[in-house]
Amino acid sequence: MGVYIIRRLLQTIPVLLGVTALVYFILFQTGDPTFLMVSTDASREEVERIRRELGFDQPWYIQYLQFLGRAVRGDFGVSLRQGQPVFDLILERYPATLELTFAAMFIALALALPLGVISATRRNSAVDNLAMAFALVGQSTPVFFLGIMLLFVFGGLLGWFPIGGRGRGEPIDELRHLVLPAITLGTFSVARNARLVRSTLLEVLGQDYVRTARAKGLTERVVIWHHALKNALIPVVTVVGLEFGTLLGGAVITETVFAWPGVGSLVIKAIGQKDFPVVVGTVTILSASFVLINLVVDLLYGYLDPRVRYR
Amino acid sequence: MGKLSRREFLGLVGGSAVASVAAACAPAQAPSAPSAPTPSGPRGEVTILQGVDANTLDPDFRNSVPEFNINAHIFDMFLWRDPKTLDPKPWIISEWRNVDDLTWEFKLVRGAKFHDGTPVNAEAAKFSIERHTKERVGGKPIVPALRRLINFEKVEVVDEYTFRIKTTAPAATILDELTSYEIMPPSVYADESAENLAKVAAKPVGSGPYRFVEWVKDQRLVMEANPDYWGPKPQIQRLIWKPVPELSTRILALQRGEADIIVNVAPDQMANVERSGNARICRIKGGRNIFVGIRTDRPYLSDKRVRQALNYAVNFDAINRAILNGIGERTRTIVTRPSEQPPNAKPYPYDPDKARQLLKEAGVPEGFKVVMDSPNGRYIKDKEIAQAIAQDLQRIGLQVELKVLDWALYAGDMLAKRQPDDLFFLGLGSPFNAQSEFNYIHPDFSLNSTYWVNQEFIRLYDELRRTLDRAKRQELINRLWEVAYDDPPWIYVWHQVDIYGVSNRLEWNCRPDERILLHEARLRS
Repeated sequence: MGVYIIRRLLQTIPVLLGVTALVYFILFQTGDPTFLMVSTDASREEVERIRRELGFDQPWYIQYLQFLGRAVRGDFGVSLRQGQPVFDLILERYPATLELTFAAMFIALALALPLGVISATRRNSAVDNLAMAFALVGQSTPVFFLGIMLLFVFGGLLGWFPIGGRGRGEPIDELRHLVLPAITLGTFSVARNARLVRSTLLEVLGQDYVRTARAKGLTERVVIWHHALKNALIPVVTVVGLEFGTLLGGAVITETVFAWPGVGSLVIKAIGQKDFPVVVGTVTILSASFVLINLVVDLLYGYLDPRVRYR
Repeated sequence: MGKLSRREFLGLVGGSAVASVAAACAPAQAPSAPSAPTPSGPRGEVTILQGVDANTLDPDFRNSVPEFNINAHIFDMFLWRDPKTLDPKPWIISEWRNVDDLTWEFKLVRGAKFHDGTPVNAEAAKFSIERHTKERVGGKPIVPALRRLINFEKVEVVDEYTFRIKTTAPAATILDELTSYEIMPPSVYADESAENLAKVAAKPVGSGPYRFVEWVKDQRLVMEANPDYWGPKPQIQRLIWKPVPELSTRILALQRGEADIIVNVAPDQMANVERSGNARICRIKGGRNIFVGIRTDRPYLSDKRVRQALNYAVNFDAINRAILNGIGERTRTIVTRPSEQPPNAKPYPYDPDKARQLLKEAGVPEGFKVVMDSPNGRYIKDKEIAQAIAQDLQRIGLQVELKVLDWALYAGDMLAKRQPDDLFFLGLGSPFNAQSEFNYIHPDFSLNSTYWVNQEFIRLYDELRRTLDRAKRQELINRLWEVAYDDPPWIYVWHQVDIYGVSNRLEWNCRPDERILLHEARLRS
């Protein structure tokens, strides 16, 4: 197992190299950021001087190699606009994004599991149709639209929740600020996971060992929650793991709508201002998170399914 | 809050996407004239929602409007700009005079103190001007625009409250420039170590009407009234600045009473804000000059008759009605300050027949193809206006291919390389003095991609730069506009209107210079 983990961790290196090189290459195709850093009254000579001093007159691969040289020492550079180390900027905002992502995932699973189980056990009933219709709508609704709708209804009309931001630091206030963005971000996952739980559970319920369990006289509840669901959850774990990564990245739009101060809004602002070090640093950290989550998912597999062993 | 109707809501959701992008790219805002202090002292809390957060509050590294707005409360700018006339007015510099053509003498108010208790004096002014004109602060490169704009040579202390700026050439716009530069305490800003620079970038110390309290990045920046302020006492106890990129969210927050001022309301959202009953719209013609640049180095476009034709072809009234909800008016002159505007300036009229005739005279073949670039979401309804202009140009016999690009690509690649296509849609914020505004079409201007060279214009401009006499300057300004009107390097479109949503509980007026200044604002009792 230890060897497996080390091998998987080593495999992340080419992934991260590939991602960062790609990001660097694409960013530099959009031109250098000097013009967006200076005011419009800067002269051409002044712009050139700044470009030279910041190294943007170098080819992209030279700048990339310089970035790599610093990154291996844990130095992601300094934000061109904020003057702060990129790593610090990301660290400042990462907790907010993680908080939002975990809350969204919690909502997604808390709703998806019962919905999926009910749909599977009452197949083709009105409840099943309703649950799957909800799942379909949830999966089809753009996050942007859903966010604005929730804000309008529960923030604007009913006044139950505050409009945007993360609150002033008191736990209850922060929780109230978290609810709407978490629902917005989690809804897509509710839909997807409910459908997945339903289909995998249906498959499992048709298998021999379930029939055996029923033949032994176990109650239907025990059969489903104790025997069938554990196996039905294996593919769900994969999707949930992948989705966690997607949610981390997908929080960008939600964070923008709700003015949530996370990594997503940081990277959106950085892209608009061509703050290259922040964009590359953020993408690197998010990619690393994604890779690590995948690893954790793979390890969970072994726990959930004893047939899977790592070498 | 006032309840929203279904219609208001649909309008809000529908209009939010474009508006939100425009919000992120918002342009600029300095103090309105001082008023009498309130006997009862400051009270209450006001929340201002801007599109983006500040990046830094170090006066020499900031370069966006949200940053200026925050700094203008914590610091004193050397001079104030009158919101109506746009002329520079006394502020912490109480008086000035020209000693000679190359020397300006300034006197500071007496008794002012920085928030750290050190005195605002001529030494502090000297320190601040010298820092603003450096090429590097703490080893980091900056653009010392002030050095070039005022032909800076040196600054000298005359006495405790008097200092002189010496210039290498006459600097007619020096007063304008000083409305945008902070006076800073040397006790805080002289240390240029990386640690101190990081500290002052996040915890500014000035002499302004508000003291810095806290800044949680991307969440809120809080400041409180400075009870020891030398000038008119602030009338609001606490200001909170928050970044909210999405317009719909800003509008909902305003309607819910969670915000008092919101920026960049889209024209089609004005009714929504006003219908809520607890907020109003404050809109004002701003200084952002929206135009379509013309590559005068391209075939046919080098002929001024063709460029005139392009101007005659634009039906701005139709654009105004259909796209801008009637809030705009076509550019009469690129000079924004009322006292400097040429008295007889008038916009290009819509005259497609004349446009066709001019094209014919210039020998432009029917169906001549031009490519026009436009950003999307950078300025109010930019893409939509560009589309309408493209259609107008097609009506006079041109074939127009419209290329819409993301702003980062538009500015970072095309403008930076000065290689836009034949026509390019752009907006430039105004420095509110004619000299700097004419600089935008001067061949030396860094963003000028028109390649327009008019020797008469260059001669007049050089003369304007050397002239201090106000009457003589006005003659030159009038003449410069005549040249730029007759031989247009741009299709003159409009000056963007700045639209704010304002809570009814707040007495505050918006300004034409994009600055949000609450020095005089007060809460209604």
